[in-house]
Amino acid sequence: MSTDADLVRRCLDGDRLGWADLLARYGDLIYGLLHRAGLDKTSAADAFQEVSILLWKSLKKLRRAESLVPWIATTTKRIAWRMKQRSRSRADRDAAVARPEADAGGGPDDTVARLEEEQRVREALATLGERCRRLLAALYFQPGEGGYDEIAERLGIPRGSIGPTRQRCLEGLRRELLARGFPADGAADEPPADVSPAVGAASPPARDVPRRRRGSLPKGPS
Amino acid sequence: MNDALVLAFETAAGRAPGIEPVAAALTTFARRVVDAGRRVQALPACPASVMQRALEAFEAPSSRGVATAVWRLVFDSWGGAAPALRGGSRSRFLRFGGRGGQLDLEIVAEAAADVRLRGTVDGPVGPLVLEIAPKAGPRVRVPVRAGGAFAATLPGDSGPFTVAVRAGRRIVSRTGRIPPQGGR
Repeated sequence: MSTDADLVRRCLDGDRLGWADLLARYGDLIYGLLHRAGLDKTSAADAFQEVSILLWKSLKKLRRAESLVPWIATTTKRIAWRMKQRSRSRADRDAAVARPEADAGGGPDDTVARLEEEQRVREALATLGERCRRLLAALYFQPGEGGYDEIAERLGIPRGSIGPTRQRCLEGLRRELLARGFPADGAADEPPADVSPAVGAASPPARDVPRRRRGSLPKGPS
Repeated sequence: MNDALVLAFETAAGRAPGIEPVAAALTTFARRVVDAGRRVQALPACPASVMQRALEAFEAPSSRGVATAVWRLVFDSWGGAAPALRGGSRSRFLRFGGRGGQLDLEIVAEAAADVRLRGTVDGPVGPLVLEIAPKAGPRVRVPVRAGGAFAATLPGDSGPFTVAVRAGRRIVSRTGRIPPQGGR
């Protein structure tokens, strides 16, 4: 897993693929922020280009940054706000000057901590196979996706394979998230004897794990 | 552990009632992942065309350094007209041309307000950005849209400005100084 600093260094060395990797990593974050700011598709495409240009020009400054998320969040919101301002009448603009961040779509959803979490989930999901991504999205990230029969039919997988696949995918997701620093709340206080080697110190103690018979998980076909 | 992980996610996503005891840390973890995942899923992915445009806008350092073409003024709608003959129109049309293409520019100066610029760039290929450098104030960069169209706004007190067409970090062409209110 390349760190942001690795990618920035590759870009500064003139590695075009490094720039492609950087865009692949943060493209959805940038575009998502522009969408949240209320820009239409055309404006979002233009604003995306502006953010990319600024990112490219700021690479030297960012080469020691642990994460690019704070810079990207601030810059993208500022550009989105400016773009919205441009499209307004002067009177509207004057009224909005006092609240640029809120107007750009900033809110509780856009705090850097939450954006970092989203980005880690995005990156972790990207490392999983297509099958895992689709299954986890259908099961957990798209509310109202229906029952296991519907999901199995839509994804074109046997119902009976959902259970084992789900388990494997969740383990992979957790491993990738923890590797990216996703907070595993309270895990530091847990006794080391109960730590699973697969997931490191983030595992819960065995005493807290429900004693269920295999197959008794809610509706999960095995 | 594995069953607990599944149960935590099932509960966090509302697929299970959550009556079984699961480690608090795992429950919180699952809930945060599900919340973050739902926020991510609710957003559109960046379209491939947008990504491609950003990708192509930049060239490796080794391929930079191509000479910049200076486009000269070939038409000015106010060029031969006395101020009194310009009528009530505040629009001024300019055409710059030279090696590699041309730039059509309409300048609309609103009294005591902004200077609006719009026009088209013909010739240079690839994702382009127009960079307007006024004598006073910061540079303004606007993307050139499909078809070569662009639009920008400068503060009214920006003074004369130059326009450069950029492809990534490379300046493809640029104009000489343009006075916003007329004059040569």
